[in-house]
Amino acid sequence: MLGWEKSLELCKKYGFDTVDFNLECYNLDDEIYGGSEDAFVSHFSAIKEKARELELEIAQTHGRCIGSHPTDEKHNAWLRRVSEKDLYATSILGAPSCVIHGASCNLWGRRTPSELIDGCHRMYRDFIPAAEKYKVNIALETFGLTQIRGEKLCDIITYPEEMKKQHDMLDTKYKTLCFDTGHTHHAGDYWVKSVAETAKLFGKDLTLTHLHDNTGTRDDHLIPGMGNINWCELFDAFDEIGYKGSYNFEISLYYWGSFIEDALDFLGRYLRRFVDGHGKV
Amino acid sequence: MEKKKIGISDFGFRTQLGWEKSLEIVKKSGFDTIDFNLESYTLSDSIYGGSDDAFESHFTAIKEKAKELELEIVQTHGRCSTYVPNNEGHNQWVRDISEKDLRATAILGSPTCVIHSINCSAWGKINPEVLHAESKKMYDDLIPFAEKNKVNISLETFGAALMRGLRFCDLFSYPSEILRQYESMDTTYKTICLDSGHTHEVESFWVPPVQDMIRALGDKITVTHLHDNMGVRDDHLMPGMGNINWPEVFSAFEEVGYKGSYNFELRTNFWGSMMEEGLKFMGKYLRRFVDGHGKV
Repeated sequence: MLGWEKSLELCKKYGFDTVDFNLECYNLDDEIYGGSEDAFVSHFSAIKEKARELELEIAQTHGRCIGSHPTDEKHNAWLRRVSEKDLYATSILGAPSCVIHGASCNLWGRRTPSELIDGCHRMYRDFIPAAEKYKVNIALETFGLTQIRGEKLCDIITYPEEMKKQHDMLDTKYKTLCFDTGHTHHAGDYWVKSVAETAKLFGKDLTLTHLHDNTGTRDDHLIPGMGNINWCELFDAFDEIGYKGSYNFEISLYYWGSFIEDALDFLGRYLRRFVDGHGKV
Repeated sequence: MEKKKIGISDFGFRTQLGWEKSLEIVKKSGFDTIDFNLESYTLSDSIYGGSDDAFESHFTAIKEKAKELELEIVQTHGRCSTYVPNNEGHNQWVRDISEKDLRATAILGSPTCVIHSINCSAWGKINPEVLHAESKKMYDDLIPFAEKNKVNISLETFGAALMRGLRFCDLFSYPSEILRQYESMDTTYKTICLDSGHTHEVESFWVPPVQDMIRALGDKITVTHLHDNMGVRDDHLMPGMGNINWPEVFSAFEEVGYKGSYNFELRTNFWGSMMEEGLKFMGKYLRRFVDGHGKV
């Protein structure tokens, strides 16, 4: 809607310190990911320079939301190629981490937990060489609910204990955890721990966030306070584990349309007060 | 083309701000009208429970302030908790307090007070004929107060009901049942309030989409509670944040010749200490949304 340059300018203008740069708009057949390496480096270097000029930190990027497939090797090969590009782009942007979603029940269906855990591990393991080459962390993101043929079910890596194991199993130092509060909260009916308990469980491995709210039924990406997450408890938990990362909000913005600049202006002020107020305004 | 009026229900912020500041900020935020919520009053407080003079004087002061600000009190909100089975004490309370609500509405100079009908959360899944009869009985009891004060009782389109944790659709969510309920009221002091969020949250129960509900109820709709949701819960989100088809809703309002205020009943309590800024932000957004026919 805005283009990357204006986007960065508005984020800075409205009081944000960091930006989460989404890479999903790039694909292998476009002129950036599909073009020459020079064009690729030049494109992301320009973004990095612009952010630097604005003193806006690119704290994280978002790689692919679609994980591996249990049998479709063509899809998996594409995923490896595009994720390698994502990790390379992240490195050029100067961001330490790229969030890559794990293997989910939406492609794997109802499997045994061990099949899902193993499938997810194999997927992440395949990304390690690229992460190490570009010195960028692969960030594992907490999941929520999935739908298969209209039926809701809870992904295995929605359970923070499983996510932590998944993280610990990866044999690299280039790994971290991204905590998505909305995913965790809307899966509360499936005995997933509360957001505060999840943050405590992750402890120092937690370096990135996707903060947003919902009412416990859908992953609505609402402004914090509009749903029923207990934000004060979560901020206490962040303090307890010594969280030092950015409080990065992943709020739906598309519906603001031509009002986007007014919305960013207001949200910037609201979120600053919300964070400074420890989850209250 | 005549400018559409926009309004806001004050249920989420008047308690925090007080009525005077509340009216001032609503006006300052660009709203033309306000939906004044009466549920904060009870029979034991100093206004509803005090003398007639104190009652009259309180609501006259509010009316005067609104007049001074050129802010129209286009509707009020009476009780959400109405007749229940086998509890005459509660039902007498409903009559007593609704009489006060209708009197307050008249003093405020507002033409309409929304009073919820009986609902399935309290009555359960019983024979629809019984629900109609009990609903009629309640409104028949309230009609004399409406006629005395020359104020409309407004029915409200319903949504989901909950019984022992089970979610189902209230009978008075379906347009044919709402119209039957409306027709059964033997008075001219009646109207219908379209609650977009209620209708949308029960679309999965074969309740028509909001735009078709408007078409079905037609010119009987004179007041609104507009808000959005994802079709699952009555979340009172800002329009555009859920998945109601708003351009279609605005087209339907035009088709039925709706002339009332576009009154939004949104959750605002979470703005906390940023309430004034939040309301200004909402006012600006909603003006553009309404002028843009459901788009910004």
